[in-house]
Amino acid sequence: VRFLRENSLSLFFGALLLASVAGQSVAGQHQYNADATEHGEKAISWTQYVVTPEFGGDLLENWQSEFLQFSLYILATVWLLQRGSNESKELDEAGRESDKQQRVGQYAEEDSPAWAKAAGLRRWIYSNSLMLVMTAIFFLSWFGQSVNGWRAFNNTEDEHKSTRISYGEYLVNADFWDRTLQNWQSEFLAIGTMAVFTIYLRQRGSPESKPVGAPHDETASSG
Amino acid sequence: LGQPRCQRNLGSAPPADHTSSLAAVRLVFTAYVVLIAVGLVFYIAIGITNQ
Repeated sequence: VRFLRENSLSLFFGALLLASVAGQSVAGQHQYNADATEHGEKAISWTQYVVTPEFGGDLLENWQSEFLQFSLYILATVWLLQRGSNESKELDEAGRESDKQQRVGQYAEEDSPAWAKAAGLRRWIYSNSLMLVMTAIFFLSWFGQSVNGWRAFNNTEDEHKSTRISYGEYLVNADFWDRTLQNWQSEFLAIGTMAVFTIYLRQRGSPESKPVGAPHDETASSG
Repeated sequence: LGQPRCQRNLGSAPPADHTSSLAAVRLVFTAYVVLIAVGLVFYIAIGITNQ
């Protein structure tokens, strides 16, 4: 019970993820088979569908945009501000902040992570580890989207007896950029909206919101 | 304005409980890392090898 309570946020979203992927795979298989039947091809099983590039591409194109969103947000909020927003730092805190504020090096505490106490490259890596890992996942997912999307695109070309294209050609193809940008735009809208809406709107009890009674021009009240 | 930045921790549990709590947190973290790594490697491999 204690395990569930102390980790409920991660477990809740982990469960939602698994349920959504399961739902996506079932719906995707039905769509895939409807298409296949229309083109006079054999329907495939669920286990065959989840290893198709069609499913892999659909999965990873959404992953990449989420990790891009968070990578950019993590990095942009170091320097960029929004007066009154709970998502922004205080207006005089833009930048990487001092070692004292960040509790690194000589200002590290007894229970600080070892790499926060370290100097040089190790401290630099640890100081940027969240952004570095999220960005690496973004690029890997985007690459995964591109290779799966390329295979899936060529499968469609085969169905229509059209000419296959190379991986390089797919990277400048409208299909790749349509799939990429339709995901990016929704992420940018969502994070921009969060930055702006938290100026005037509240959710009592949520760390994503300012306290209900906080004035509209109070910035970063729930840090 | 001027409120201290939040400093959250895992509570003030006794040492043994605190250690098991931290182990549980590490388990959840590892589960996420493994899930993402497996998903990425598996579907990148499918994209690269699928003909």
